[in-house]
Amino acid sequence: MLFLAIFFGYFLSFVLYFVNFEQRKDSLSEWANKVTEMCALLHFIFLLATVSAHHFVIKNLLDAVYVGSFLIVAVSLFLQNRYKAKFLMLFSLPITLLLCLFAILLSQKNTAAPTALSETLPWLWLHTGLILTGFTSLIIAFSSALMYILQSAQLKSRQPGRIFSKLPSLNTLDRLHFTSLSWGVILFSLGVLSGFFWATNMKELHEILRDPKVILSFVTCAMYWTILSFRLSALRRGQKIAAGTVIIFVLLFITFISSQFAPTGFHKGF
Amino acid sequence: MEIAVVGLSHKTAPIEIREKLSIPNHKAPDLMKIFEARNIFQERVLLSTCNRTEIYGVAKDIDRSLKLAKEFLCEYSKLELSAFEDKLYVLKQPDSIEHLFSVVSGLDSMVLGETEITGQVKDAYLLAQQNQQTGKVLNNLFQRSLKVAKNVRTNTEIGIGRVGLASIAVDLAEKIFESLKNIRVMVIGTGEISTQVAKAMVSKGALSMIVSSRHLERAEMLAAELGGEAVSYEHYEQRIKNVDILIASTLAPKVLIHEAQVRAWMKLRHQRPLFLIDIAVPRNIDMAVEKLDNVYLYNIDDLQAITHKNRALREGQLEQCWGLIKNQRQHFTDWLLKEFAPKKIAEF
Repeated sequence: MLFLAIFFGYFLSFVLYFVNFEQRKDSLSEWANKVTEMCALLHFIFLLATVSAHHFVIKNLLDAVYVGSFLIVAVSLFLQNRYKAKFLMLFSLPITLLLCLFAILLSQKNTAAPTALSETLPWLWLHTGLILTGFTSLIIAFSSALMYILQSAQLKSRQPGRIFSKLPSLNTLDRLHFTSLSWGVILFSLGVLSGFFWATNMKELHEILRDPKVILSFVTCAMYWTILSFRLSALRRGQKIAAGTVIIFVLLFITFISSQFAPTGFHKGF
Repeated sequence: MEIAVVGLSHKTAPIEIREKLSIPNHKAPDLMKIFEARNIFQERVLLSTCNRTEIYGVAKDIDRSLKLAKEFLCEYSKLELSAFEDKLYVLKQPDSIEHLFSVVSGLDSMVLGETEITGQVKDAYLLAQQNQQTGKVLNNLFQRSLKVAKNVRTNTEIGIGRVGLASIAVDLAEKIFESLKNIRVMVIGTGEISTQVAKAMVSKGALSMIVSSRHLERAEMLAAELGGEAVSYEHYEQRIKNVDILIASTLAPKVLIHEAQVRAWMKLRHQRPLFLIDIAVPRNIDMAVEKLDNVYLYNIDDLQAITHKNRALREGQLEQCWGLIKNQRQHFTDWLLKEFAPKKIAEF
């Protein structure tokens, strides 16, 4: 019930951000920020309540979505203020809403955890912690890449419209995109690597290498490293890198939810 | 007690008349003292900018004060009244109140919706106040007018977009580079518009200009003016690696900068964004460069199209602005009646 209220709160703040984007009323922006902050606080309380009720571990996909959606909002709010990247929330909130909706649907199902998880709690914390923070950072990279593409298209059109004046500059977006992409790729890779060592430790390496989610994670990771190396070597910059981030993000999202739909695999239900 | 304004502006008078009636800030206190000595208005504010000279005043016998004010303007400008009387506007309540609100909101400005005038009105008011030239009525009127300007700006889109070529170029550059601080600009050619654009960029903190021209002495003059350096046209490509904004405005009858050149520059620049402004006619930069990633090309027509579009957007906001102004004028008139009507009756 509380999570449903949080979902509607996020939806309301998205509407407020959108109307503010259209009408440029500062008061609306302030309200949108207040509603988002309030919902993020409630979301945090919700996570704390889960901790006290179940000795919280991220034991299935539902828990991961609960935490992931909170991290996206919290990090986006922080970066929006830090980089003065106006309207970052407008691009991050739809993903949060999608994840929240997914969580609401998942909560209707029985999402049982693999039984062996509680025996290896530190590995679980490390693995899921790194994957989720990496995922959050990559979502911010996706949002800023989307904004970059829009702003760049406005400038290229030579007839900049209303969006032009509302979005931040290309330099701001590039910095935000590069920072979040770098952190995201590093954290996500460390998460994958920790999973690899965990599996080795548990002598389950052969088992996890047959898991579709693990294979997809390796592919996604490799693609992210490719795009990051292009950006670092300055062979490519700007629109193409941003477009790459957007495309790979689709794959990342499929990876994230794949275990829910894959018929078999170590991560099934996670 | 009535509020009136007498003055002229860019809408009614040519510059030859405006400059004769222009009142520099340092002279305003003394002139207001003369007004006071001659009993021209009981309260007064002198507003003089490059586009207008206006005297706002409050008096019981407003016609007498207006007559004396006109005589004073003749004396000050050393012109016959007949030389500028038809250029003068005299507005009484409530038009005078509406006029001030529209002036302070930038609706009466040459560049519709500009904000500089708000500061100028504020300065004129503060100067009058410091010299004890204002009282209850003008204090309230001018303080309210500044709130009206803020209200108009916040609740309408009268300030949307820029409407000057140079400021549009700066705006575009700021949407690419975030800030012009530490951004290096190169100007090829020494045309008037390119100079304006370059000056606007320097005022926003752009790094020293590199000015290149076939006529090195002209380039040196402009470079000195902009605080930059001049390089001969033959050597400008050697400096392009560190340039973020290139303004081209030569009289060359053909394209000077080709796609292959810019492609090579972009490699040298590690694909950092490059903003090209082609002000020349015929154009100096090949249009094909716009297809290159991270290269943003604008020519004079593009900049003018944005000017027209923004101007039209601002004009579309006029009705809403006037609605707000009329509403505020009504509030002020109500206050004035409440404050002074009983006294009027008593005086009567």
